[in-house]
Amino acid sequence: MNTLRTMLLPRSVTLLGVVVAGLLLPGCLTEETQVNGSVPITLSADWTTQGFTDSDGTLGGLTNAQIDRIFEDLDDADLQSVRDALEAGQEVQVAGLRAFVTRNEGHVAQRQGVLQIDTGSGFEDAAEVNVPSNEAGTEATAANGRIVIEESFTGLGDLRGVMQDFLSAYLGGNRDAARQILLGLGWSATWSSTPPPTPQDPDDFDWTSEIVVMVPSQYTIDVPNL
Amino acid sequence: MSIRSTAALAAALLMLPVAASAQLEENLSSYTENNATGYLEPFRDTISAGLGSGLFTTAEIPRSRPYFQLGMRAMLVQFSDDDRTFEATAEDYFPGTGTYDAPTVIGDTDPDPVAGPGGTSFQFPGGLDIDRLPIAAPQLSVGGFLGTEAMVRFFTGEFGDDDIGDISLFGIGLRHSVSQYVPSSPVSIAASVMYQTFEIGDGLVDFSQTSLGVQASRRFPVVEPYAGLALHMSSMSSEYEFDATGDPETLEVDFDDETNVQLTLGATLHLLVFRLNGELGVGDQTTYTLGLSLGI
Repeated sequence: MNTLRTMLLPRSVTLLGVVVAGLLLPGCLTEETQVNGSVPITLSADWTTQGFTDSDGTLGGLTNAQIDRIFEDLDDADLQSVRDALEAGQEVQVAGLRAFVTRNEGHVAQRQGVLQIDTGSGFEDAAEVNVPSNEAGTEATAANGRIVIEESFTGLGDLRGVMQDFLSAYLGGNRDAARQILLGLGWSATWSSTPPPTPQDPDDFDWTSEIVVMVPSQYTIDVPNL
Repeated sequence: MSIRSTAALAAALLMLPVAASAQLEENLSSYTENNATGYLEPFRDTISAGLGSGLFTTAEIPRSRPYFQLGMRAMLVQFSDDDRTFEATAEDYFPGTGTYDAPTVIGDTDPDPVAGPGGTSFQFPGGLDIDRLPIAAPQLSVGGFLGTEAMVRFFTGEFGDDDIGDISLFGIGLRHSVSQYVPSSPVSIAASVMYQTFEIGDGLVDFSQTSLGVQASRRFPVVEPYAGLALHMSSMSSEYEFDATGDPETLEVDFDDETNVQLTLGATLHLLVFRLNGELGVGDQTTYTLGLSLGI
């Protein structure tokens, strides 16, 4: 038995050393991997509806403050990861749209209408909105069925190209050009109210629409693996 | 080598799963609660199987001969193909309907965007593309008092938010010799209870596990084959910053408690003051464990 111990000891220790080193040295356990993600940015439009005759509204576009916030979101991101994703062929995604009522001190009623966006070639439908009420706190999303985006709507598809141009300008360090691209966007909403507002019970509410854009990113990291 | 890089190396040696925790948090930020649960579920199961392994190298616990063993356990957890995807739902602003196969934390790194109507599309975050995951833990066992052994696993490290993040592992357990009450038993038998916690970052992963087990072994001159059966009861929560809309908010996700049965088969080589053990763990996930310990 002593002979067996003598034989086993150096071999086993050597084998153990090799195996443990192989297991524990990080370079043997990790590999470089490119992982895809996205940086979300939101294009917000704030609406105020007052009176009893308006059934539509047009906004000139994003405000400079809203654009500053988009810049801040991108500034906080790892821009190299965004560049890497674009070089890898990934594209900006326009993921969808939602809307919510932020204040209502006036007429409360069911609202149904269309939200349009102008990317430079006139207003195009982006989404249908149908909410049972415009009470403060009401949310309209695709998930709750109050936002419907038809296949034939082209507004968000056109926006995708615009956002790709915006991102190129931003990553190229030309913030003014990027800002002008966003300032060139226009929003329009048309809706009906059931029952309609009256002089005695006029509309007086604020609501916000948000388009969520996903900027691609690609990170190179070491992940544990064998 | 700086203190920081030395610390990072130590962390890599001891807690390899956290090496990608920063990316984990980044990817999680796109997910609300339901998706986060599906995304992280293989990670929870891995920690459960990994930490439930390598707890013992023998069932022999002397009644009145004090001893200690200080060692390192390296566990390798094998994932199945089913672990790579989960049924995800897109965020509420995306007009697509139903569920989609999206990568879990160990799944594909570059899933294709999901197309919706009107030019919309949604990008689920990628996984880390891991087939097998190594986990390592230091362990101290002290026993030989009334046929009882105490086990401790402990590691903690603070490595900043930008790299690995803070991690901590703590485990404490007791084993008691059952065979001491059965002198005619041909094998040594022991029963155990173990409690372990494992945390990554500031609440990113908060895992705890209680294990009940029974082990048997038979000592030959150099080799000691052993077997064990354990019941692992695990719970996990995750707190992270959700930022899928550019409006960050902190989310806390509580996972369903999980109970797993794990069968262990292994053998220990007794080499003077060293013990080298290898074992196979069979359960929801397969684990391979290699351990080296030093003691008297």
